[in-house]
Amino acid sequence: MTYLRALAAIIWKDLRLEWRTGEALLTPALLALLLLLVIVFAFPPGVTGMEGVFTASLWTALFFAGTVGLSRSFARERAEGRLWGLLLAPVDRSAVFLAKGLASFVFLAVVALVTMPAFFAVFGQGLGAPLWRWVALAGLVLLAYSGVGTLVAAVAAQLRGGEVLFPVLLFPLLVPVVLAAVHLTDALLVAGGWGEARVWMHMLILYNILFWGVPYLIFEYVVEV
Amino acid sequence: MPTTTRTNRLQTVLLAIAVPAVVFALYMSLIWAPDERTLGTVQRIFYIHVGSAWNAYLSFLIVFLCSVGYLLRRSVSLDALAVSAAEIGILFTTLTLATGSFWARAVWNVWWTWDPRLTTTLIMWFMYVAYLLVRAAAEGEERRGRLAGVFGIIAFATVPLVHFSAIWWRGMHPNIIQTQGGIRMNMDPEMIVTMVTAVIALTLMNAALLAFRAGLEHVARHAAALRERVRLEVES
Repeated sequence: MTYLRALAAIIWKDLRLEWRTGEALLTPALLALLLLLVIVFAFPPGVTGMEGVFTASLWTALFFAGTVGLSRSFARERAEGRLWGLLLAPVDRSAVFLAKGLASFVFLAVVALVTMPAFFAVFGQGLGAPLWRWVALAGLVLLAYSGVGTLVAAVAAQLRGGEVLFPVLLFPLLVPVVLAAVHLTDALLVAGGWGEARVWMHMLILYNILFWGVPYLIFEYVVEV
Repeated sequence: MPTTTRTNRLQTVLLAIAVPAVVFALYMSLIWAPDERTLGTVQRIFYIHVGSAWNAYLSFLIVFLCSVGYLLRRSVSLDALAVSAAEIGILFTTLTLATGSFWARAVWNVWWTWDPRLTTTLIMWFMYVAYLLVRAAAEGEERRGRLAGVFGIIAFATVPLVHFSAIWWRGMHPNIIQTQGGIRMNMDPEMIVTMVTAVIALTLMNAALLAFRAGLEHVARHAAALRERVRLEVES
């Protein structure tokens, strides 16, 4: 019970902090929209109708924009010894990881909610599948992303120049998520394409289990003081 | 340090075995083994390729085990072994990518293709370069060992996922060793002997390099500690 209360307290703290600074919401959302603009300008006119271009643009922009918010997740706890305060709480260290991860997931979900419609609109792309499938897909992808991102952010926050290193440390680990996201998106766009894509759904779930499970076990080593 | 002489002897012995073994394996791969029927002499790069790939995976397994061990025991030797194995693993991964690339140029007529094993190997290379970046950017011996240990564990846990995702993505890498319906090797017996020899020889070389690199790490840390002591004495 204290565990859940600590969890809720840290998430609430992050949400309130976010409400007052906008670091993890506003900047990534703006960056995602700017990337959309750059991508559209970078392709010659007329190419934007292709499905592959839409899928690649959508996830590239979201993954890149997400790094801006994620890298701040632990970096901002460094100032004024805030992380010490968190670690002194009489609760298992994994609660800190779970709470920071879930808060990051909420931020990423809001960013996706705001920016994804713009991608559909700009590329003139119809949904092609029931809305709940899109929500489930984006939810699982962003959950995996926030799990691994939070762990790497906790490591990067303790390094010299960690915010610059963060994407370089994160992206090699993220490859399975990127491939799964792209395949599942294409499967949703093409009618009846879901059958073959099921294996990617399994990969995504497995990845989620791995990157929420392993940090749960080793997080106390990540944030020792 | 009393361990120095023992380490030196181990290094000498390993090197004395590894160098002739590698020369012998090169002789077998390049001269003794028969020509491949369709690929011809180009196929001979395969022996070094397989030996390097095996040793890359072995090195990263050592990084993983030493990382787990370090986080549990906080032994400086395990951390030294982990960084040594990571560097050697990157070396063998680079060799695997380079030999594979030469072979692909001759057989597939391209230097690179986005085949699962190629993709996996390349991403593995990036991951362990990132591992070394974590080490380089961490301040303080304890923190460096701890954060590198964490990264060494999650990198190794991701490699199989990257591999399977790459297989589902697309595949054209030759499968010489088949595991479906019992292990079967589609090779001439003399080729199998050559391959096994190359794998053993490069594994011995791996062990020798590991002994040298870990020894160097110990000396470097000893020197850093001495320097620190001198600095403190000068200041006081």
